[in-house]
Formats: sequence, structure tokens, C-alpha cells
Amino acid sequence: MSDPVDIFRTEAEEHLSALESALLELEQRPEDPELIALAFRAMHTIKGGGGMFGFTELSAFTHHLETALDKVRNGLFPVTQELISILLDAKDHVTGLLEDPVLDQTQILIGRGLLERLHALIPDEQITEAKQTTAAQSPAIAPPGEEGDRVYRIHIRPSAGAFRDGFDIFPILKELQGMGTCYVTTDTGGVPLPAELDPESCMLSWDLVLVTSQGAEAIRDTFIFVADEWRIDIDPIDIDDDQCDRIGEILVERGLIARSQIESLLAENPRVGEVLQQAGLVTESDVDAALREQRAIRDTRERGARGEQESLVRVPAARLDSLMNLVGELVIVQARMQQLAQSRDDEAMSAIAEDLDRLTTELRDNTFSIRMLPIGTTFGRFRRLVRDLSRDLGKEIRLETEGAETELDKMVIDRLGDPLVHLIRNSIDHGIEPPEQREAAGKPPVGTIHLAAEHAESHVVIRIRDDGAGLNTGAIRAKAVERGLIARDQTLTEEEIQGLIFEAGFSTADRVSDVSGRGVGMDVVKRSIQDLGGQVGIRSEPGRGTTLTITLPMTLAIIEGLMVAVSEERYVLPLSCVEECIEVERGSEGKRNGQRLARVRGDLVPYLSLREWFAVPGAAPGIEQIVVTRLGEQRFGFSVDQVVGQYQTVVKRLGKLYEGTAGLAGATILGDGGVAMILDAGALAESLEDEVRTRGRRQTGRPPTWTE
Amino acid sequence: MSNVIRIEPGPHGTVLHFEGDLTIFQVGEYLPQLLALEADEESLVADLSATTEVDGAGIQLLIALRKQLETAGGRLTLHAPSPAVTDALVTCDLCDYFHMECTSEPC
Repeated sequence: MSDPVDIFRTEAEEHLSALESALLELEQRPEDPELIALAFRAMHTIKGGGGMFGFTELSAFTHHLETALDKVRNGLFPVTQELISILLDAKDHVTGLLEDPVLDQTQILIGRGLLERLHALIPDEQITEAKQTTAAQSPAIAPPGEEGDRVYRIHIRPSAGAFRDGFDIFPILKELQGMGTCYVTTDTGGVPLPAELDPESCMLSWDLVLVTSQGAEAIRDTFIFVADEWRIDIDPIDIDDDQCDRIGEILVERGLIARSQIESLLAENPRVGEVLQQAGLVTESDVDAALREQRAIRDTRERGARGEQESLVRVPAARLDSLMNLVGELVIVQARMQQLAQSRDDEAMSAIAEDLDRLTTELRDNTFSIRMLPIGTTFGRFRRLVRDLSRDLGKEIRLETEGAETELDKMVIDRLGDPLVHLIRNSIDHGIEPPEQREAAGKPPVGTIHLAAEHAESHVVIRIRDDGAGLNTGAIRAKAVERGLIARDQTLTEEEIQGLIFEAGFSTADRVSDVSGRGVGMDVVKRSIQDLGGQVGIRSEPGRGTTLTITLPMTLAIIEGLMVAVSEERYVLPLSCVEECIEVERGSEGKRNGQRLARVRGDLVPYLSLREWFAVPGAAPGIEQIVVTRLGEQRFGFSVDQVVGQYQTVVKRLGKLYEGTAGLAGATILGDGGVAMILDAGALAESLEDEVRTRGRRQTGRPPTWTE
Repeated sequence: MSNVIRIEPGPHGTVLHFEGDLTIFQVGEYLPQLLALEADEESLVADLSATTEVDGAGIQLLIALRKQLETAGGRLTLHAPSPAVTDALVTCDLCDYFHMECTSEPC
């Protein structure tokens, strides 16, 4: 992406989505000056870039918006619903202009209409005059250090027994130094002369000034093992405060002297530090520490003023992918190396292998973290969706989000957008009732959709909860019978009925609205989520609402697996779906309609023989292992010769020829150079389930037979 | 390498060769010997070229020694600090606190 016009487009799109979320937030908090400033900045930047890259129309149009927003920013006009609606429409118009800078007749009309609406609200006087105002004000709009570094003052006083307890300061200092720019001052004042020195007591303390992009929590984590015993003070310094870089101020803040002491001395000599030191009020190292803090504050301020732009680099996704691939290969080679080192019993080699292991793991984590994005980047578009759609449908709906900072692989986020949109559309369209119906049911007229994301072990759980009418299980059941998905007299639990909505071709919408009922059903949602290695479940209470739960792996690039063996072949099953392993003696297996069944504590669980499925030559051993997996609400087993154990691996793609092979999610190279297939348990089970269902329907009502 | 302190006279005052580790375990062991040194010792040289490991207690000992000599009007010189010592001094930013003699010459 080296074409500057493309770069402008991408950046403008980012600004537009920032603008959109700012506008939607403004709707909730119309008084928030920061949001207004943000919207203004977005318009201002797009206008500037548009002019530079030949998007003349876009530049002219955004100029009007910018002018209007500037007036709002200056408090001349209030933020109203109408204004936000115009601006949102204008944002859409700008998106159109970005795609095609040459206007067609419709676009001209849309643009003109929007400006008329805008100027009806906020009249436009002299354009030139407006230009001058904005030009004069624009330099001041970026608050320094907005997203960049923060300055923290950290005071560390280890407990006297720290050394005796086996804690040392150096690892902690090093970790802090690794977090950013760190200025350390060791306070040696407490150390006595050797005659009084208790060699095991720690009399030292440290004052640090840390400039870092990380939060106070991350800093606190550094002290996790010593926090109870040591005195640790972590104070963020407000670098925007004009006074904060004065030495005297710093010393007062550090609690070393009183403000009045400084003031009386200041009258005599402006160099506070020296004077205070001479007067014996503070020590040399106190002043030293304060001087460092002063330097850190000034440096950070300067950098903030210069803008931290240079520290951000745009990288094409393909390059990142190839880096990931290489790291993946390296991880595999490293595993082979380690295996070799172990088998050689060579200490020197083992040491190298260990170092390599540490570095590779770090490299891998670092590389993968590049691809991680907070899921909140997608939340913005849902806000707009909820707003627009609920208006169209005459419903009042509030979207609440939680855990926007939860990080997920960019690839997962990209592919998650559409399923999430669909689920939220469903909640708006089918879930939340119209206001009058809600009031009749004794609920608040405004419905709520709660969108939450959180980490759970190596997974991310996304919940979409609405307080709507809940699923109508009766209707679902009737529809399922009508569609031939279940038998008329089949007994199903409430959960099983709810799960039916994920079946192919299922739609309960009584009417086909503009929203749902476009033929894309929940089965597609389920499939997309399964493709991402995730699972989706539904829980609904009549009258109370519906909760959809999506569980996703954090990344598609690494899989936590269970390795199994059939003869010499190795397979990896995703550990996330493995429930237990059981042993079965040959000849004890049951069958129903040709489907193998295993008895797992009284339940019959269908299973598939990997030996048969992959046509592995040789005979099965006398005792086979069955790995029981849970796929959504169902359990499914895989029979293998041997369960090898847990195995974390980088997933390699299968290559063009084999990609898309049913049941295979990828492959991995083992430590000994062999290849193991990574199985897609869900897909394997589905192909078998389909078969069973076809057979089962032909023989409805007959209880399963346990043939032995 | 075993952890020892060798105390020898040198051209610029008594030299303390800290060999091996200089950690909490050694500090307690060396301290009586250091206290036994002539109280009027003007200057001391701490040869840290063969020091393999140093911890907070080790650094604290050096600070205490520096203070002692300063009171007596003398000076403590850190001679050729090994990478481990240099690392510790840099981490604590104590390089300017001590008088350092960074040379490969033995003393």
C-alpha cells in the first residue's frame, strides 16, 4: 500500500469511524467538549488530506461540516439530535465521496440537501472568516501526550529484611527499565558506616521516574511478590500542569519539604535545588531524583509536542503474515532442536536449546501480539447499527458494551464482524419488543442490548444479551417439525429446542422485514464461528430475554491441542473441545444404524474411528482409547490407538490442494520432522451426525439398540 | 571459582580483591575483615574485575565503604568492575556515585 491516495483513503476511513463513534457518544453526552473536539479534528484532518490528494468535492463538503463543528465547539450552537443525524448522514456521504471522487447527479443532490439541512441549523456566514478562525485554532487541538506516554513517579523502599528474604532489587529495576524510559536514583542516605552495617538488612531505597505507555497496573504488577512487605508508591505525574516541572514543586510533591520553606528561600536565590541542599533541608540524592523527574517531564512534553506519529508504522497485512509464518517455522525447528538436545544428553547443547526456547517463545508472543487488536474497534459499527435500525423499526434500544479492550487476533476480529452484525440485528429485530408491548409486559420501554467481551483462559468469550421477549420455543418446535428437522413426537429439552435455530434453513421471523429474513440464517453464523475455531450457544428465558455466547480462541495461529496416535500416524485435536478420554475394549462397542456408540457413564456417545476415517493400515489394538469431545451441546468421540498428550503448536495451512478438506483444520510439523494433521472435530462430527440423522428419521420412535 | 576477599597492599592504598560472588552471603563473611582494617586507612581500591555476581547487599557494602572513607577524607576506588558489577551499577545509576577506574590493567 504505497500509493499515497490509498493511504489517505485508509486514514480517512479511520477518521470517519472515529467521527462516527464520537457522534454516537455525543448523542448520549451532548455536553462533552472532548467528543466535539474529536469530531472536529476528524473533519479537519479529512478536509486537509482531501484537498492535498485531489478530492476537491470531499474537501469542499467537509469544509462546511468543519465550520459548523467549530461553532459547536465554541459553544455558539448546541448539540442536538437533529445535528447528529445530519452529521451521521454527512459522514456516510463523505464515505461515498472517498470511494469515488467524481460526483454523479445523486451525490450532488445528497450533498446539497445535507448542507441545506446543516445550514438551517447552523447558519454559515462568511466562509473566509470561518477559515481564519479554524486556521488560528487548529494548532491547539491536539492535547499533548493524548495517547502516548505517561510519567510515573515510583518510590521503592524495600523492607529491611528484603535481602534476607531472598528478594533483590535488580530484577525489578530491570523490568521497570524495560517498560520505557526510566530514570533511577538510588537513595544511599540510609546506609550507615560499615561498623554499624547489618550486612543482611536493606537500608537502600530508590526513586524512579518512568516514562511509559503502560498503565499503573502494569507497573504495580512488577512488585507482585514484594508488594506486601515493601513500601511502593506509584504516582502518575500530570505533565500538562505548568508548575510540575519546577524543581521546588517536585520536592514538595515528594513530601520532602514544605512549600513555605521554598518560598522564603526562593526570594533569595532562584536555583532552588542548590539552596535547599546547602540549607540542609534536602540531600544531594533528593535533588538528584527531582532533577531526573524534571528531565523526564520535559522530555515527554517535548515528544508529545512533536507528536508521537513517527512511532507508528503501517505494515501491510501480508508482510505480517509472512513474519508469522517464519516464526511458526522457527518454533517448530526449535522444538526439534530441543528434542534432539534431550536425546543427546549434551549439557552444552541443552543450554543452547533452552536459550533458543526462551527467545523463540518471546519472539512468538511478540509477533502474535502485533496482530492483536482490541475488540472495541468493531463495537463502533454496532452502535450505529443499533441506532439506525431501532429507529427504522420504531423501537427504543440502548447498546451497552463491556470489555472493549479485550484483545483478539486481527484475523478473528475481521471475520467476526459479520456474524456479530447478524446476531445484533436479530436481537433488534426479533428480540426486543416495541415500546408499547414492553410497557404492557411491565418492562422499561427502552430495550437494552448488552455486548460484552472477556478473556477466559486462552479464549475470548463474547456475550450478546438482550432483555427482549426471549425465544418462542413453541414456534421453533413447530417450525422444526414443519421443516422436517425433528420428528413430531420427538422429546427435546428446552435447550435442545433453542439450539434448533442454528440448523440450516431455519428462520422464525413471522414477517420478512428489511432486516432479517434475507436468507442468511443462524446456521451461517454458527458455521462462521466454527470456522474460527469457536462455538456459539444460546440461552433464552421467555419474557426475560436471550443471551448468545460465543467462545473464540484468541488466535488462529496457535492451537492448544491433544495429540493422539493411530499406528504411526499422529493427529491433533483442539484441546478446547476435549472433555475426557476413556478406554474401550475391542468388541464392546455398540452400533446404531451403522453409527458406532460408546457407553460413557451410562450415556451413549457416538464416535468415529480415526483409523477407519483416514484408512490407516493395520489392525486396531485390543484396547482403544476414545477421546470424548463436546461440540456445543453434544458429545462426540474419536477412537484412537493411543493418547499421546497435550501439545501446543503453530497451525500450518495445508496448501492449496488440501485446503478445504472436510475435517482437517491444518497441519503441524512434529519435533521429529513428521507431520500431524490437526482435526476439525466439529466438521468431522457433523458429517457423521448428518448421516445418523438421515437414518434416524427413517426409523423414528425406535429406541436405540445396544448391540453387544 | 570460590568466593574470597584478598586484601593486599597496593601503590594507591590497600586493594580489596573481591573474587567470585559479592552477595548477601559474602557481605556478612567479609565485613569483620573489612572492619579489622586500619581505621585510618586513607584510600581503598576495590578490585571488582573478578566479581562474578553482585546483589543489593553487595552494592550496599560498597556504599557503606565509600561513606567510611569519605568521612576519613579518603576515597574508595572501584577498579575494573566486571560486567556483572557494571550492570548493577548502571541499573541503579550509581556510576557517578563511585570513583571508578575502568581499565584492564591489574592492580
